[in-house]
Amino acid sequence: MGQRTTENVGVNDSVLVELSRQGDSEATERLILKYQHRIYNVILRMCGNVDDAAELTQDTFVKVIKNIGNFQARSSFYTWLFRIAVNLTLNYCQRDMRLSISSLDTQIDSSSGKPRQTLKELLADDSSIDPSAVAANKELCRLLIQMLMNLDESMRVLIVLRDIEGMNYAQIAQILGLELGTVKSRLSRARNALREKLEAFL
Amino acid sequence: MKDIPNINEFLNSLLDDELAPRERIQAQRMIAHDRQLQKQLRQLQKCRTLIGSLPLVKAPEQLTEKIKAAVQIETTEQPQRQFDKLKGARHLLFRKVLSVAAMVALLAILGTVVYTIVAPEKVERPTIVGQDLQVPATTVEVDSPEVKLPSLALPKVAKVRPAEPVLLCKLRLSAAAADAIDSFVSRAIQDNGLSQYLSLASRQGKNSYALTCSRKEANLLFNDLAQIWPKLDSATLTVQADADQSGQEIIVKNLSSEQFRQFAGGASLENCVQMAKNFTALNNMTALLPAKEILTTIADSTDERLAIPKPVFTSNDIPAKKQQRRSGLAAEVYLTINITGIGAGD
Repeated sequence: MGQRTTENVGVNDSVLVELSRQGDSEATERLILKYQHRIYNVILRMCGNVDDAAELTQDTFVKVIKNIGNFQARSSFYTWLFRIAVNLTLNYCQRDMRLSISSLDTQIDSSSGKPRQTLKELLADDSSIDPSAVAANKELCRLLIQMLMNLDESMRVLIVLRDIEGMNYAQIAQILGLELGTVKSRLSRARNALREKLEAFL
Repeated sequence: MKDIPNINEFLNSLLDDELAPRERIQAQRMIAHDRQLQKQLRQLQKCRTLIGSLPLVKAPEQLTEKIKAAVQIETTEQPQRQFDKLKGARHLLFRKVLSVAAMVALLAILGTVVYTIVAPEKVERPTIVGQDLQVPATTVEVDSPEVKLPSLALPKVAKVRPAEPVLLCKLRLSAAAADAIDSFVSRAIQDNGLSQYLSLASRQGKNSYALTCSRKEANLLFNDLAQIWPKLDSATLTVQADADQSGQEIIVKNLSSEQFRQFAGGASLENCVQMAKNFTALNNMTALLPAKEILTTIADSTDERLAIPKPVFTSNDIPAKKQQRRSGLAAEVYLTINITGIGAGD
């Protein structure tokens, strides 16, 4: 399964953060290197544009470094970092509305149709899904990304944080500033919506 | 059985291992006996697996350097930004001050313009050279049949038409003892506290006195002058009332002492003028009469009867009370007294 992680947010992060606050540029760089790919991936799955994702990732780390002196460790550095990233990306998505996917049917029609067949087969009741096979199928991945982008950003962020980044409900609630029950209900609706889109596509 | 929304949450939570142990057992029991739930759970799991299977996209290689460069720029620019912010604030404050100053200046100019338009006109008062009275000068000339009167170099007094009606009197006194008369007149003027309002000119030994005074003061002076009437050869009074501005002169020839006293005691300027007219008529008629009493009286000149010491004209001799008489009195009479001597006869 994807990149589900229960990231170590223990001593290492605390030490690096403290060193970074004292002006240790090496510690800062280590923090960046540790999280840049994951941050970039989450942002990319949320905004759907490579260039925008790079810029948003850069903005996220710049903001973190600028404000690391104000970080009071009430939450973990990991949670704080992703909160900044998600908020910047949500603001960007709501402001620019850069999602240019107009109609899933249109895009599907332009494609070869092979992904559809693959997806149909994968979603067949008695089939099992091999994640590596999915990852290797670029067309299928593109199709899945398109369907993900078709979701509302409030639902999409839950799917991304849970199913791609692998955060638990508590972490998601902290990042989005929601109650635990709200996260459960919204995630449930998001997955149902995604499933309906997939079934409708098939 | 619970309703569908809760079942979905239940299944999702079960899928994500977010259920408590007791809830998880309950859910597993539910699912074990419900094929629909099993199918639903499988679909949810597949969707999650599909999304989770999306490959991790790595960040661009230069991202770290870009981040470091951006942080460096931020660190460098921050003081400059703060400076710019401060500079901007100062500039804004300066512009505000300038705007306020411009508004104040504009209001001041506007106020000046409005004041210039609506300000009341100033009435300039005429100035009197050497005098604080607005009475034109008149001159009394003393006729002397033997003396050719040159042009008078009378003391100049600024002739300003007074606001109030005034009496212009010319008293021409002719006497053999002109010097004594002159001394008496001078003394009388001094005693009545009129010296400060006196202009004195000397003209070939003949003195002219020009002064402005109130009617009351003039009457006092006239009363004093009346004492020397017997010593005069002749007296002529020329009166001109400025009220009517007609310039008509009333010449009273052969003015007697009694007439002079009456004139001096006139109740008003108009009364004085009327008396002058009456005297003129009377004296003209009297001149035609054989008696000529007035002429006889005037002709009597006895120097020893005067016995008036030549006064010393000093301001210190003027009694204080007479000096104070002037205050508050309007200048109604402009009097000029001219004294000349006479020859052996008229």
